[in-house]
Amino acid sequence: MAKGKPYLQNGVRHECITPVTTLDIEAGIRKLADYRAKARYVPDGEPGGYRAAEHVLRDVSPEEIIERAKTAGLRGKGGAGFPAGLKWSFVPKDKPVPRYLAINGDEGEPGTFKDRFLMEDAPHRLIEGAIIACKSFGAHQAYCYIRGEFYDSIRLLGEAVKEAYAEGILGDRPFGVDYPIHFAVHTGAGAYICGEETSMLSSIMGERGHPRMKPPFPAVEGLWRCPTIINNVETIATVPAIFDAGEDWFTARGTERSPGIKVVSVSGCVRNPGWWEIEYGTPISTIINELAGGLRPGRKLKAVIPGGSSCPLMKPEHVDTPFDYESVMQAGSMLGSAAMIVLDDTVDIVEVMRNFCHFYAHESCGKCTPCREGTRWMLQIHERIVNGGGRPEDLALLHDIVLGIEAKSFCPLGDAAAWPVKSAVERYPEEYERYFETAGGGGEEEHEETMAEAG
Amino acid sequence: MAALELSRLELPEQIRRFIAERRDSYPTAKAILIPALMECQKYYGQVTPEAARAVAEELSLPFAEVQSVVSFYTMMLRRSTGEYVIGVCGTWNCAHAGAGKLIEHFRQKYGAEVGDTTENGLFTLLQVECLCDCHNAPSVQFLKRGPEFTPYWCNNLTVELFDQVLSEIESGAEDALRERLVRIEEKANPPDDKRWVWLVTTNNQYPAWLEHRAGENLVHDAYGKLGDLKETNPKLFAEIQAALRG
Repeated sequence: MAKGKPYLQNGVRHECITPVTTLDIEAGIRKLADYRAKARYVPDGEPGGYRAAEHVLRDVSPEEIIERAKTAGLRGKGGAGFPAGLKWSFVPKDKPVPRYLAINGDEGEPGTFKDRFLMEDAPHRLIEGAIIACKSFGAHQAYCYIRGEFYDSIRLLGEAVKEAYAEGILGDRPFGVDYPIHFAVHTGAGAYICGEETSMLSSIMGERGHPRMKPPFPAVEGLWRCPTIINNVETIATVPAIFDAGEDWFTARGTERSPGIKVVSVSGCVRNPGWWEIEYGTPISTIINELAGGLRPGRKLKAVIPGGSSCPLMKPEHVDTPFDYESVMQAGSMLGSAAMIVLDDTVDIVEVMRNFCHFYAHESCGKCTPCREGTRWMLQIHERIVNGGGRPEDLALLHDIVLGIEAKSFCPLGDAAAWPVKSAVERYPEEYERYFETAGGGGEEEHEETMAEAG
Repeated sequence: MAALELSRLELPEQIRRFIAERRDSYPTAKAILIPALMECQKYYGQVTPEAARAVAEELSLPFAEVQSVVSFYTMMLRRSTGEYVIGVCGTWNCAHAGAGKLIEHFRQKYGAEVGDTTENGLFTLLQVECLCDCHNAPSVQFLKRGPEFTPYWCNNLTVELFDQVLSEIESGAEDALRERLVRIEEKANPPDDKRWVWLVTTNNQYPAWLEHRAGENLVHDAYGKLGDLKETNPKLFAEIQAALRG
């Protein structure tokens, strides 16, 4: 892509960087007064926050809000990339019941670190986006579900909400307009599964975080069986800019089918891990080498996980793939939450998979058998392999288990657990075979109580 | 039912207020359950059956239903913990960056297994799943229970630094969990010809550039997030100065 002006972010100046949702972080704008006086919607825009929400509340019809979000090509930034405007349009218009906006701040995908900073350091942009999103489908109440570990996010977003109520930006008559909008910060309690949309709804309602059957989709029957829209924090934080800078501003950036910008978080074997807001379509190699400082001297790339731990591993030959939903998919992986984990030649892929399997086995909610049993089996097999009991038939066995989980689990957690293992077995069999050659044989499947919790 | 044998617990005023303030935000009282239980966790360092029953009564919910929720969520602990719960992230980025060494050091220092409380009653170390602070691996949270519950990030830790933090807490130092300098790292791709570095601290890493002016080593952090360290965190300032001299 690289056609813009080079902006400085996180100590890097590059033309693929286009700060939008992160502008307030750069400028240190946390307080309402600063946001109203100094916040810019896009890098070279006029200062003055909350102007987009006020304009939308006064003058823009719900249909037009949805239309403009669709035109801007706003896609959900939590993982699936579903068009946000289209999602908002799914809310039935004829049902005389309350509607809810549930903002997903349950950031938990290993490798991802973006929503936390937006909630902590750009809270008013999130609130402004929520106001606009609420009006698009007739909601008067927004909830932001934040994972329990993010104590600072819960506190700082909560303070910002209080400020907004005090200034008449939230409440019964925001900006003096007769369209009540209420906003509540809701706390999670340490369950990755609650990032799955229907589990999140269960959790908000005070239940165990179990996923629910779809259909009915949450847009039709969600919180308390009322229409509920679930959007990621970053998606909502992107909304205000669309209504100030205009749809064209977004479609002029990124690619045709993935327009606009995205926050990427880069971690693993790079010299300068960190996050940057970039145009979709920036080559993965540019992100790794020019933003994250490249690999350490003398190291070679072994694999890239482009979108968080649940995405298939990509081989080094795909490193020039443009970072947009379609291209990454074509290269055999997924953009996911844009949490790029870089693995170099010192990394043992089997150990990575053992670690991920541990994560998913712990986080499986236990509702459905393929995921509950399958994640545990995959963990046990990986533990046996790394403990010297690997057998050549393990590759086929793992592949078989993966096929029993993938697309057969009740919710996407099963897929998330299966896909990285499937890709490791298919694309990096030599990593496993190394273990088989040196294996001492034996090594019965041991059930090890690995999760240490005072539970 | 076990509930009948529990001793009576009056919820602290601050938790009752927390619940009352949220009643209007939801159509049902049950929706406040998880946030309310988390307040108990913060206050007591665990969710005891007594606290769970008090919350159940406050929200008019069956005790069994509340206990089933408590048993689902990892952060609600059901045994007593030390004054500080230390959550060491064990997911890959942090494991790769040495989280296992931190845990091993803790076991050796205190002879306490993961999940157990140290004999001095100060610490309970847990291995937790991804804290989503992967660029600051290994990532660790120190959670100090009580009415004034305080969370601290303690990231980018080395074994030496971890040991130092633990020892200082033991000796009662009030600022043991202050933001500390871990290292100063040259930036791989500086954006201009200034001398750019990463200031890696126990909270975060800050892009910054250095300047030597009038015999002084000046540090400009790119976001101005650290503010005037001389005023706000003189110890961190001194650590940076010492590192720059060295």
